[in-house]
Amino acid sequence: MNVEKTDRFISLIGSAARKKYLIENLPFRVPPRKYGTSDIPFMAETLQ
Amino acid sequence: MLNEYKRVVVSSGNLTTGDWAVWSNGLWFQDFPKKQALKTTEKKDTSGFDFNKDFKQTLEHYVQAIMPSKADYKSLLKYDLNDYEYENIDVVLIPSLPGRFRDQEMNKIGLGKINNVLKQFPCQDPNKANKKIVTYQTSSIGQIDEKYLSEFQASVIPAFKSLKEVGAERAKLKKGRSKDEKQTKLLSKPEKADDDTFSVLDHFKLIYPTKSYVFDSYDGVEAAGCLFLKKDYYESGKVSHQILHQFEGSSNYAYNQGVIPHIKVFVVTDDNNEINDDTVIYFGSHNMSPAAWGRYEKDFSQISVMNSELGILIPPMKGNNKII
Repeated sequence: MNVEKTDRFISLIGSAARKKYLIENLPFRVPPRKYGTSDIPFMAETLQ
Repeated sequence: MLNEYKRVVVSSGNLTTGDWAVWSNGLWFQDFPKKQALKTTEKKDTSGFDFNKDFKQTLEHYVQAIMPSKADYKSLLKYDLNDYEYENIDVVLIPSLPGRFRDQEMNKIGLGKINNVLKQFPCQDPNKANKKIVTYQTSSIGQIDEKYLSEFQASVIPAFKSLKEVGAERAKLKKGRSKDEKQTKLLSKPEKADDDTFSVLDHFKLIYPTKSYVFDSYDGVEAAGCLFLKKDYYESGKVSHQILHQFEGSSNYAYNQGVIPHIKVFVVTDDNNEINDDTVIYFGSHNMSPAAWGRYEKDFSQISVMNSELGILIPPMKGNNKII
C-alpha cells in the first residue's frame, strides 16, 4: 500500500543525514563558484 | 487507490511544456491517508513546533485562497482536506499570496512565516549565526538591493539579528549620516564588515546562469524564457555583482550540466559549507524577489506580497546528523 511506502521513505531520509543527502543531490554545484571577471549573467533582453 | 490517500506535491514547475520537457525543476511530495484508513503511528514532535497542525492549516488556507473568488474549494475540487490525516510531517509549508498582511497574519506568509518559524527552532550552535551563508539558486532575480538582502537574511538565518535590530541599525545609520552619504551607500559600497562578522554581501551567494552557460546549454538561448534578469536593473548597481555565482551542473549527475534551471532552492550553512543540524533548506516556487517573498513595511509590522508561491522549509533540527 502506498501509505506504507511513504512512511518508510520518510524514516529513511528524515533521520539519516537527510539534509546532507538532499544538498548533495541537488542538480547544481554547491558551494557554487563566483562569476569570473568576464562573466555576465543571462539577461532577459537577450531573447528580444 | 486514490480514494485512500491524498498526495500533496510542491513543485518549482508550472503547468507548461517547458517546465516538464526542457528545464530542470524539483518536486516535494508526501501522501496522507484518509482518516478511516489510518494505522496507528507514533507522533513525532521533537521541537515543540506542531508540524502536522501547521501543515494542515497552511495547506487548507492556501488551497482556499487560490480558488476563484467566492468559490469553495470543497465544491470545486470535490474533496475535503479535513478527511485526511496529516502525520509524520517534518517540513514547514511556506506560502505566499498577493496582498498586505499585518501582525499575526504576517507570520503566515512568505518571509514573515520563515522569520516566525525559525524563532521556534533553536540552533545547536547559535554563536555561528554571524558567519552563516545563504546560497540561493534562482531562475529570476527581482528588485533586490542591500536593504532587502539585510531583511531577507534577518528572516532566514537562524539565531541571526532580528528584524527589530535591522530597523535599529538602519535608524542609527540614518541619524549618523548625511543624506548624500546614505545615497552613496545604497547605490554602490558594500557595508563594511567588522573583523568577526560578515557584511550583508558576504552572507549571500546568488546562483544564476551566466550568458555563456545559456548559449552553450542543450536547448540554447531560445529555451531560456524561464530566466529573468532585467538589463537595466543589473547595470544600475542596486545590487552588487559580487553576490553572483555560477550555475553549474552537479558533478554527481553529469546530465545536469547544460540544462536550463527553473528550480529554486536556498540553503543556509556555516561559512565552511558544513551541513549540520543547524542547516536550513528551502525548496519551492519562490524566486529571489520581493514580489515572491514579500517586502516588509511599516516598521516590520506588515508585509506586502505580489505573487502566489508555495515551498517547504526544513528548519534546524537536533539529531539530523544521526544515521539510523
